[in-house]
Amino acid sequence: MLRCRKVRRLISARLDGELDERRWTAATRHLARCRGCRAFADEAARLADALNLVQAPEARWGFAGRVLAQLPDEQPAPSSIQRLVELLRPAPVGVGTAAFCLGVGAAFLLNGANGGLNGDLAASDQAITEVAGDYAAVFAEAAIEQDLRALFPDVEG
Amino acid sequence: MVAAGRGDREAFADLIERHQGAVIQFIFRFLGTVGRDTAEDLAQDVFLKAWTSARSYRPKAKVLTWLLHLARNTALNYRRGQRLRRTVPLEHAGERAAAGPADAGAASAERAAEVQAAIAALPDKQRATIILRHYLGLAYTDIAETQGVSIAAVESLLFRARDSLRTSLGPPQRKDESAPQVSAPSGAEHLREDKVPCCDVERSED
Repeated sequence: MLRCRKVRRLISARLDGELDERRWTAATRHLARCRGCRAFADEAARLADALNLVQAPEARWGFAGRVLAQLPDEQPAPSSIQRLVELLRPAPVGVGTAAFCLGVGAAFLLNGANGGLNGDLAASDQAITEVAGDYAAVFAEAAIEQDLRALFPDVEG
Repeated sequence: MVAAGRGDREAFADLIERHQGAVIQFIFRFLGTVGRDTAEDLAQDVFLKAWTSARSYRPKAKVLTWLLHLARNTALNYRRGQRLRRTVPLEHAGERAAAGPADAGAASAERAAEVQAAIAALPDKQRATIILRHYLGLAYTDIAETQGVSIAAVESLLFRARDSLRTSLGPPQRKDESAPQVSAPSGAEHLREDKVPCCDVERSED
């Protein structure tokens, strides 16, 4: 058996014409036995009359003209954030994949270099690590710069 | 709206004409304590925001629900600003009274004030939802889009709003003895009580 709270929610939806017959049928079975929910149905239906007592003003004549007079001569260019959203919108998977590959690549380079430190050629590996580290840093910077230039082509420097 | 996004002022003027009433009415009712001038000023802000962000508008959202979403945020920001300044907007009290029906008697004006106060006492989401549904006639899907919630949440918000209003307003005034819109079983009339019991099922069989 449906509980009163659930039934009253269904009654509210029924008043708005947003309840299908199947759900309403279940509610009517409860209503046949519950005087509290019947009273709720009655009062909720009459509530509309009370709400209609509160009036709101119409727009004054010339409202649209006053808004148009305040519009800037040209629509502002989209902000950096808006452009970023526009860029990310069509290809979220591609951008995500690129970011993931960039991260995995950098981690692979660094991890591979670090792993060599345990070998006999520690000194040599150290040098390789430094070179790899530098390379990874340069690569990462270049990739980030490229991404930023694509995102903000108008920005100088 | 797409045309407005390309800078077409004529298209934007049409859009304002179509939706100005809904936007002004929503702001007026949602804030509850402002006069017509403030509601119009805030509605102007809404349309200016719409113009400046028209390029980012996506046709998947209905224009009206998008505008009402902007209107809700604008109204909330306005109220936040009012609170920060710790001022109570008492403006246009006469104007607000004049917004009532011209032929309304003192009793119904008093009742209207009670109803207005009861609506104003609702939590923001419930208040916005009952305004969108009852006064602007939006479907649940459109309310869900405006409010950024699910349809089930809209259903729940409307029920809670109606329940709160019913409780705070007491038994409704009966202009006539017509039956309620929902097809409740007969016999409800003599059972109506000020305090409606919950789960007062007369006989539980199922």
